[in-house]
Amino acid sequence: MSHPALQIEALSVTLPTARGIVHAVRNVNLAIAAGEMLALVGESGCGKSVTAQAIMGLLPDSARTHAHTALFNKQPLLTGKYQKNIAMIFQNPMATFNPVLTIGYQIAEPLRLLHGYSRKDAEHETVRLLERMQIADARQKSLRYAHEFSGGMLQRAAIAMALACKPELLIADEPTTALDVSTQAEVMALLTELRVEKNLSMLFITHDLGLVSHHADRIAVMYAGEIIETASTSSVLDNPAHPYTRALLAALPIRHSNARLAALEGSPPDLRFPPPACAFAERCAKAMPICIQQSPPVVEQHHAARCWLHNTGHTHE
Amino acid sequence: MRPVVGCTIRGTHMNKLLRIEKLVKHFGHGKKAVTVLNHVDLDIHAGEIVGLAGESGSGKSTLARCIAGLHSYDSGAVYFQDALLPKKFSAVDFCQQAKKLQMIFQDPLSSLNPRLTIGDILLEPLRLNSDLSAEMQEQLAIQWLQRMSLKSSDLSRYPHSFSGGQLQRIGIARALIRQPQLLICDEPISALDVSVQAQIINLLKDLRDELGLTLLFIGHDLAMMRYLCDRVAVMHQGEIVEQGCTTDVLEHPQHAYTRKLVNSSPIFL
Repeated sequence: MSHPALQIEALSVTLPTARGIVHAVRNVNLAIAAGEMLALVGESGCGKSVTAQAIMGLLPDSARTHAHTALFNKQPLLTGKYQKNIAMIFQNPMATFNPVLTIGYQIAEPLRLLHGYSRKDAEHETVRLLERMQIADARQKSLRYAHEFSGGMLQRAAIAMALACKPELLIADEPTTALDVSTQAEVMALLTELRVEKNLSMLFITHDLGLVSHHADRIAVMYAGEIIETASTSSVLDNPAHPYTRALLAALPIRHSNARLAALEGSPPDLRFPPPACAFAERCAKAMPICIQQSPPVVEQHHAARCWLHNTGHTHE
Repeated sequence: MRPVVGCTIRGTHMNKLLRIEKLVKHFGHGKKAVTVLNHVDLDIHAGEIVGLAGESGSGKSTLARCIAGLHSYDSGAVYFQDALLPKKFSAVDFCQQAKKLQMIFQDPLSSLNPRLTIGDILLEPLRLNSDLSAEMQEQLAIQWLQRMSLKSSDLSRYPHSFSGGQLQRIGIARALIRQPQLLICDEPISALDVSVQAQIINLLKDLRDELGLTLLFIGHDLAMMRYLCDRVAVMHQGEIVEQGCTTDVLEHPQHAYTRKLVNSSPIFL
């Protein structure tokens, strides 16, 4: 990677709750180049959404965020200010829109407030954006309300709203989880098109390794608040280095195979008391004595894995 | 449509547990009526796992709910073990049918009463209709919990303190404690993480083999259906557009809609 647009080093987020302080994100490094799509993959509760919200500045005031470096296009992040050049789409498109305002009004809002469009220009741009999202009869549709849209159409309108911010980085937080398989394919195709067209950087959050295999350039796998493996998509899928990534892949049904699915037993650690060493050691079939004593080193390479098995730094078998 | 033959059926051959004939269901009345199920025909044989695929709004869940008596239907017939089920269930029908047919749902948390302990949740079906003594009932509940890899001490805990996968297993235990013959699974893994999905799918498969259960599995993850189901039926706009052996349907889809569904599945298909 030449020069990453998004550069985050040693990001940590703690969230105070009634039952103790949760160490939701621990020492996370992320880098995304212009026009690149990085998929952040992990189970629920592993900290992927909190990472995204930290970048966006959407965390509650009580959250403590700390990072060694946090830059986007050389502008500092985590300043508590609104990030003009970053936009986000969310899992549930129904909750993304205000139910009492028209879709068109809400898409035009960032155009008028952030980019100083007149009401008329904003209207034109809104219709154009909706058309770009392959929404038929866009002018009429822009006067409709969220409940009159189907899930897939609404998610496309949400992408239009995100694009109205004219972002350079688009964060997509499980944007297709609530959609059908066929609609999911449409939304993914659209996102990929837009990424190429506008040279958008994308941080794509999901728990579905299958979904990102066709679309992402690189994959970062997150577990218990840490990124445990980062590499190009093909490298992660073909040669997963971390036992957790292997377990995730083994849990997927494979074509022409009736072999029993390898379910991962146990549950992730309680992040109020994060384990001092490897967080996965407890569930890992290959755990060694050192795994519960010392945190594994992060080897920054083409294929980085945070695991004692790869201490030599050589990750491919 | 593809003829429903040439498919080796597991378990008892050609023993139809459930027979659905020309089932029609409307929602609403008069001009506003919407046809949700349009002449649906589907057979489920004892011991097999039948998948029901299709997008939201295609009528999968409505069909399941008609079979379970949670919706009344307008015309057609549903036979369970050759006995015609009434179009609209009375309270007595529910009691009788609940012994033979149970359901698990997509969202495990909202399908369990938050104010009951796991013990109460599991024992309720037994208390309502069982000749077992209270002690035996509790023994049975504990056995089921252990079969679901939970601890007997979990009996006194409430649903909110469990993870999604654990809750889904509790839902399965509740459904199976009365030993029904047919288990309807309405998207039981859609709300779960990939690693947990595998646990639930393995569990369902094991239970089928152990108990000789018959499963109707509703979902939209075709890769998982290929793995789990003996036969699949594809629903589109209230009609079953294609049904047959899982591999036949998914490898050589005949209907345009099935092809679209197969093509939009992300991976490993």
